[in-house]
Amino acid sequence: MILTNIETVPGKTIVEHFGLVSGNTIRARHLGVDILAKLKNLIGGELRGYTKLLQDSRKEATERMTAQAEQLGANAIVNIRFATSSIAGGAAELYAYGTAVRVE
Amino acid sequence: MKYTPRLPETNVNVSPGSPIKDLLLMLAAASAIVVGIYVALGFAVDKIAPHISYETELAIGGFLGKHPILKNASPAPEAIQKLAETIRTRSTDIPFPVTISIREDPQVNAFAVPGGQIVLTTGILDAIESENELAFILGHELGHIAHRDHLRGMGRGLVLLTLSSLVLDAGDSIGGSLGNMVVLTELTFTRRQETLADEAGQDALMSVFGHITGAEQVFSHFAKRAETNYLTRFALSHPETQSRIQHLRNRAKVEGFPAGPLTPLNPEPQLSV
Repeated sequence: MILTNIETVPGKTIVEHFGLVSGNTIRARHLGVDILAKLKNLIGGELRGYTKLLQDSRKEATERMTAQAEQLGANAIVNIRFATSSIAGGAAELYAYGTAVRVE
Repeated sequence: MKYTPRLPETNVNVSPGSPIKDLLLMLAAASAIVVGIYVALGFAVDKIAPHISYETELAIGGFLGKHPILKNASPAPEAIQKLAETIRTRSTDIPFPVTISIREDPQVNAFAVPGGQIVLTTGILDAIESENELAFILGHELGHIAHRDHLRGMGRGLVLLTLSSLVLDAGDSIGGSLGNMVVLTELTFTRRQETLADEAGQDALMSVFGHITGAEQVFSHFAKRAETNYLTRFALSHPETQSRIQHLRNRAKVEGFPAGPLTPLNPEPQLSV
């Protein structure tokens, strides 16, 4: 599966497109990370626990988007975008979307 | 380019799983965490409480004094205050003076707050018939203060509140919630703490009257109160009260504490010694 955030796959021709595919996930870390993050607010710095949270979410959302594209018979997703939003305190939504295509 | 609009066969964005199973798992995990924290705090607070300085305790007491339960209580008559001070100086090593307040409340109850404030309800004052019973109650509460039992109870509550406000973004500030600690200090103590406080009450009787009569009468008032309420009657059917009385009897025998006459409490307590 080729994943790209430009509209084409350089060196290949898009022969068929299947429309929008998307993957999303809403994740939270555990209590310990939340407590550490609150304490980190006092001194500042990177909230490493939340960095990992978003990293994991992006990975999961991308995998889900890819799974959807595979079901449709695509071998590439072009024009991929990510969006994020805060759903609840300590939880984040990651939404990945793109256009499923078949390239040759 | 050919356009082939299709829908995926399954929705990969909806995770499979049973919500009920998830709920049960989460409840189990949350309970385990809460119990774990509480037990750990219990150990930590038990270690820390005895080392809290009396100055700090007085400062905490001053802060708690703003709570409505204490604010609305009126100062006790001079004689009760004197009785408490006598007990404090004769049978405890509490280094600061205690203040006795009276709260308009029909319940038979008495409790102490860190910093040396003891609150008696009008209910308990109406129930007791002798100065000896009053001395036992004051001695019992002074025992809790001397053993730092309230600081232990408060410490747990304080850390739990801090944790919950950190995690749950509680709207109330920790400072605001602190006032509610007074209510928490009314929580039940462990059997061991109650037994030690009872012994302090017995010591108080010895130091003021030279005998220990009066303690058992106090327990009878609590038993009377229970007759009116099924739930408390159920709770009291437990041998707890009987075993506390028995413990005091055994201790009196071992220590050779004598029995004696009750000093009437009429119309106001008169300090007999």
